[in-house]
Amino acid sequence: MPDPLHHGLNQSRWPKRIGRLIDAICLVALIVVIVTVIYGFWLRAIWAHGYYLAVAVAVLGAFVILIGLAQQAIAARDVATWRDMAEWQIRAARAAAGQVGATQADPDDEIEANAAAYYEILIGTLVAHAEQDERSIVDER
Amino acid sequence: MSGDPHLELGESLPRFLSHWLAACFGHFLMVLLPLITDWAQVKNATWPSWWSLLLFAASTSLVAAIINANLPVTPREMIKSVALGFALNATIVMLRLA
Repeated sequence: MPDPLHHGLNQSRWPKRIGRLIDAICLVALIVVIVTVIYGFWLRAIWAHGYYLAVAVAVLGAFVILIGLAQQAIAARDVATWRDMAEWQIRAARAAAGQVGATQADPDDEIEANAAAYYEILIGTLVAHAEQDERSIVDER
Repeated sequence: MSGDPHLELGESLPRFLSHWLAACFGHFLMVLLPLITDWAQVKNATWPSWWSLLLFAASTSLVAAIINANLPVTPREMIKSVALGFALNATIVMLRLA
C-alpha cells in the first residue's frame, strides 16, 4: 500500500549507521572538491590577477554551501527534538487519561511517528486531556 | 525512521541554489584539474577571463540545478550535483562546444 509519506529519501533499507558513514564520506569529498577548486583558482590567480575575484566568489560559494548544510542539520535536529516532546506529551496525556478511567482514544498500540494520522491523534489526545482537566475542575467545585 | 521533512523529495529555492552552487564547483573542478595536475605545461596557456568562466559555469550548472532541485541538501546529494556539473562541462569539452 503506497503511503503518501513514504516517497521521500528517508525510507532507506540500509542501516542508519551506513547512511551516516556515507554522508560523512560525501561531506569529506565535497570539502575536498571545494578546497581543490579554490586552490586551482589560487594557482591561476598567481598569473592572472583577475582570478583573485574568482577565488573570492568560490570562497563565498563554499561558505553558502557549508552554512546551508549546517542549517539543514540544525533544523533536522530541531524537528527531532520537537517530535520527542510531542511523544512525551502523548504518553503523559494517556497516562492521565488512564488514571481518570475514561478512555476516549484507543490506547492499543504505538503509532508510527511518520504516519499521517500521528499528528491528528496527538491533537485529539491533547484535546481530550484538556477536556478532562476542565471537567475535573468543574467536578471539584 | 523519522519523517524528516528535510529529507523528503520536493523542489524549493534553497535546494535549487545549493545544488546550483555544487554543480558550479563540479564545473570548476573540470576546468581546474588540468592546471593542478599539469602545473608546468598549462601555466602559460591562454585562459578565459575569470568572469566568462564564472558565467559559463553558472549557465551550464543551471541544467544540473533544475534536474537536482528536488533532492535534499545533504552531502550525499550535493556530491551528485558536483558530479553532474563535472559531467556537463566534460560533455561540452568533448563536443568542443566552447
